[in-house]
Amino acid sequence: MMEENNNDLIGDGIGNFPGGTYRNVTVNGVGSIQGDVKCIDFKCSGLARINGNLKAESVTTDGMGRVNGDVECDKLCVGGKLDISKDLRADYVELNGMVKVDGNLDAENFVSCGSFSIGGLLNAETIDIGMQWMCQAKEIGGKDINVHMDRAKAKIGILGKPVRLTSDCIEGDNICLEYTYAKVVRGNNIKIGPGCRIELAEYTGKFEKADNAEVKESKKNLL
Amino acid sequence: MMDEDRRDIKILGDSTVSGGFFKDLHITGDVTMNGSVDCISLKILGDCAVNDSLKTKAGTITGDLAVRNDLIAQSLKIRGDLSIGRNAVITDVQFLGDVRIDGDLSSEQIDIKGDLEVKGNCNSEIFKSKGDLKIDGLLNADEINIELYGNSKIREIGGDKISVRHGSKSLFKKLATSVFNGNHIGNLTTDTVEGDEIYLEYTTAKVVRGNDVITGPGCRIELLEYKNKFSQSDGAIVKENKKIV
Repeated sequence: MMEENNNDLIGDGIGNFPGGTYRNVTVNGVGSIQGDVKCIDFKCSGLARINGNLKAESVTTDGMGRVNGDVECDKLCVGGKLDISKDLRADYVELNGMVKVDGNLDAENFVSCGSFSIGGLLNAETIDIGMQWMCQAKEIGGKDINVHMDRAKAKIGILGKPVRLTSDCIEGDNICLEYTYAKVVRGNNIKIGPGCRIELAEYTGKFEKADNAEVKESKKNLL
Repeated sequence: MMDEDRRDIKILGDSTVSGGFFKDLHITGDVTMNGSVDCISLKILGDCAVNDSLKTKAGTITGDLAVRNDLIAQSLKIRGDLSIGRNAVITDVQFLGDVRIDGDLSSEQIDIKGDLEVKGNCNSEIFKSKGDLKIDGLLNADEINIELYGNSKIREIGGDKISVRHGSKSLFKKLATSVFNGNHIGNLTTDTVEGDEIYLEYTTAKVVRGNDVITGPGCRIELLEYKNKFSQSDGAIVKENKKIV
């Protein structure tokens, strides 16, 4: 239970601040916070380094945030870059920039048209990924998983690497994939669209595969 | 290289860029640049390591930047730490973070909030700093405005208007200083300060030479030479002072 705290923490210049419970935290300059931070709104348009966990109602970053700990919030909007060394737990995640989570990302709704790299499991009720940049998660789990590439916006990448979502295992109820490389895709209804390379697809309901999608092995499970 | 031949690059994600000429280089992610990079506008959100030199007209970097060789820019705003292996030539620069330059720092306008370490010399028209300074060579600027928080050491200081003051104790400055050192106030150690109008606080110097000189609290000066006016506050110790022609 967050204690009532009316103090805002505003970092415009460069500073080291102690962790604690604040009302709103805004970092426009370079702010290093030592310890856990609890607040209502956390906004970063500069460079924020938190050596501890961050717990807030809303977290917004257009700048760069580095959290050496967990992040727990209701709403997360990343327009800039956010690095999290442990886990991320949020109700709603909107990603236009880049997020790196070494642990797991657990959300109700995950919407991305940016880039993400998740060391553990990306788990959400609904996952909506608009492929424009490289996306990677060790495992993906959810109810409705939709990965689509907006061909008009697709960036082939000057670096020669095609833009893809890569994951070891994608598991859900209704899965719709495009431009995804995965070892295993498991679900009720699976639709494998263009640009995919899947080793094994296991489904209980419907299975569709686009002509130019590669699925090494597909099998229907009766369950 | 004609500007039309330069390409724009926008990257979202960790990347490795080979050297080259670019127009707008916008990267959100950690990036390694293998080779010299020359661009018109540079925007980086993330950490950047350049294995050679970096040249840009305008740049904004939020994150840490490490350049192995030279950094050349007309205008640069850095939020984060910066390390440069050789020289930095930046016309207008705003540093918010800790900066280390192994060579010289040449500029017209320097504004730094954070710690600055320059192994060579630092030349500018305007030099404004809030934080700890360590300059192994000479700090030379028309206008020098230093706010001390911790200890600073500059071999020699030369300029027209020189002001060295104790930093204001606002909550959002380095709390560590007051936490560990009680009421310890930073101190500047230098061999020589030479200028027209000089105001010093908490400065330990062998020689101070100027037209109008004011030594404020915390000063320890061995020899002070002035052409016009000299005033010394109670908390200042000046061993020898003389009016010169």
